[in-house]
Amino acid sequence: MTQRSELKQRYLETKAQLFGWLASKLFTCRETGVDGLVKRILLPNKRKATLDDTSNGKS
Amino acid sequence: MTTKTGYSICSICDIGCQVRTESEDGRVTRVIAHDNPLLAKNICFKGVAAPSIHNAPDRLRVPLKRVGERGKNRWQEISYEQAMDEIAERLKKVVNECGPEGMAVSTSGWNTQTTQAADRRFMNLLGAPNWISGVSLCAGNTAAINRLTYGWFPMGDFQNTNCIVLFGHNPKKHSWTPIYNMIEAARARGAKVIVLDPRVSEQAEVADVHLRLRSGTDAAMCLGWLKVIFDEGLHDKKFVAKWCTGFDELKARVDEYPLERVSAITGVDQALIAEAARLYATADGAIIPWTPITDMQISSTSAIRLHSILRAVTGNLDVVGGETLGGFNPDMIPESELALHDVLSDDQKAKQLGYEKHPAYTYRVAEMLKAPTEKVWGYPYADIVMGCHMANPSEVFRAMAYEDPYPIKAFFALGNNALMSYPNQHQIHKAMLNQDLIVAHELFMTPTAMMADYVLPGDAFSERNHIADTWSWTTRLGLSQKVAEPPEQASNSYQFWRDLAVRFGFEEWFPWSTHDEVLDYRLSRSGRSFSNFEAQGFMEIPPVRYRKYRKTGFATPSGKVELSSSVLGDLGFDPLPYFRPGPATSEEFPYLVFNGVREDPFFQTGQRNIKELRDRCPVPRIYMHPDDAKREALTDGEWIELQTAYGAVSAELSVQPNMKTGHLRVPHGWWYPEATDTETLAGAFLSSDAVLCSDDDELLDHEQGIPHFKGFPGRVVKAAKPDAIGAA
Repeated sequence: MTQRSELKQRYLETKAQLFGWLASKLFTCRETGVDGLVKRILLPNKRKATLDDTSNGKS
Repeated sequence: MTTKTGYSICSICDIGCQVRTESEDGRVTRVIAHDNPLLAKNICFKGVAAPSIHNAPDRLRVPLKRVGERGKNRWQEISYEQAMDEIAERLKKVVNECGPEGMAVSTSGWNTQTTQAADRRFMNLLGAPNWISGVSLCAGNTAAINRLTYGWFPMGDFQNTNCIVLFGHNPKKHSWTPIYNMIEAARARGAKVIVLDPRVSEQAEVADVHLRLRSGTDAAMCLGWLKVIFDEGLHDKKFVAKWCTGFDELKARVDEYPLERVSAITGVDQALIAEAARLYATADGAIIPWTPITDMQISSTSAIRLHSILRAVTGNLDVVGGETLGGFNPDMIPESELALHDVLSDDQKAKQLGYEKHPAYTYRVAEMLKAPTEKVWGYPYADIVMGCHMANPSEVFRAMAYEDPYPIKAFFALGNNALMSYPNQHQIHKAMLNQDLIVAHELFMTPTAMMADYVLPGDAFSERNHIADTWSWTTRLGLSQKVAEPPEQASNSYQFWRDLAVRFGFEEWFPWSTHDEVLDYRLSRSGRSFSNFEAQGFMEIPPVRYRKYRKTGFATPSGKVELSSSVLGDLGFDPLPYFRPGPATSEEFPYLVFNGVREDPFFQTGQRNIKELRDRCPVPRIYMHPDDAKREALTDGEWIELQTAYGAVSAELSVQPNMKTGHLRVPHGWWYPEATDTETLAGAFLSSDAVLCSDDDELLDHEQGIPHFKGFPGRVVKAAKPDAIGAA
């Protein structure tokens, strides 16, 4: 952290804000539009989770 | 058949995972993973079990009025209206006799999700300052103490960080699941993980550096890290010079903790302490996420402040990859505003228990931070994770039990098994026996509800709409949709407080007759209603802004990061952080006990009545190192009794090589719903860790007045399994 210059700080901030904005536009809506398209691409075999998916045996 | 699928914020535990919930004919049938790939992993077996919980046959469905002796679990069914009428009359009598400070409320935001601040609103209108919650020793207190240093409670930027420091925190696939997933993702990117834990926990097993410190020595460890950082010049000198006050005083204090001393206190090798400190300080973005461990120690205030100080002096505050100060979401009216804290008079605020002796999270400090908070964040009160204007629980229970300094004779517990949720359970029991009125609002009959005069059935997350605002910890808003119908006589917690307020003549202050109307009101700041919100999406995240302090300063009296706290100094406390040892072991009590530990299938004291969860962990288990077990001639799986100077619990012994020798780990919140008819308060005194720990003043953290759960003396002996404990 102590190595960051002001220029690097600003670069990282701009990058993080851009990605944050993109993520909020793409992934916070319902299953329509771009969001739905991205989901369909990323989850081609979309299958709903079941109890078995979350079971890792006795804790 | 009518089927529904909705977006939900699971509130089986306190994390609030975003999931999908399905229902058929008004009855919740499945909780499934979110359809968003970024959120789909955030689900655990507690959430999946929600339909079993919400549809459980033993769920409370009708208001109950006590007919037998208090605590004997004998009831008469009555209507909701009758219950509310009688509760209002009896509360009015208490208020007339004792004043409004004679009422206390203990609540949890998790089970009942939120009251929309209706509890605080009602209490402030009434003049009642004594509101408490389990967040007093879990996150809420951390929020309050963080504010002393830089005016807000930050959230780690897991997505961009390069180093994660876990002080005893052990997020797993089925506990703190989203945090676990974010750590996994960061680790996959190459981020380093430092774990500080006496036990070789699941996180420690895969950590880059593991420091097996003695339980309860977090503050000393942080002072050691600062010693390395200052001595080697690894701090952010420009940030410290421009934005911090009290550096020289802090440095002088840190110099009192050379690594030899820190090593002797913590039991960790000096070289390893230095390695970890360097790794943290030189990472290009590092975070120390909130941990429930540091929250519960005799030097908790200092240890939490030291986390804050580490963030600040290494330049990790409000930067990419560090920890960001979010502030309020501008599109949603916060609970801080709804609570009407300004309506409560100064005189009544001063009566809040804890105000004099342990003021760190009471109204006393809130008033001291009011002006800078309004200047920086736009509201005079910042109620973050519900934890910034609370009474001290131990003082509240003392007032209930002994009427000192004044009597408290009416107690309300909402979504909160208060009897077992704070230290010194025997005193809490005595406190409850001395009440004129106890009201419980719950999903199930708990030991606390058994002590009540009235038990009202609450609703569950699948049965109400909600917009979750993470209690202002972050700026994220999440959608939770109603897909199922609550029991006919159930109420949500907003409705409960509103209906009580109407009976006290406060109707004009509660113009929203339903929970849904409050949501519309809260969203009206952005010109929307709940319907608009749910039509648009399931989550909103305002753009992150970094280094906001450059424009506004910090929300502290000086406007800067206060390494030496002016608030603590003005209150007569040491303004600098320090280490204070917990009670020492002895020949009689040779082990260090740490309690308050959650088990994956349960959240706090809940869910022992849910078979699919209880089957995963049928009985409480105390962890002990094999060498210690051998010395005590104990074997894995046998029943033992853990004894301290204050109480004893029965549990099964689990011999675990991952334990640190000399330590015992006790799970939190055990009682036995199956023993409701055979054991007093369903076995609430058999295995509950709340009986083990004192809340005597000399054993409390000075500034907050919270107990030392992480390292107090105890011993173990062989014991028979209590008869009442059967198979679930």
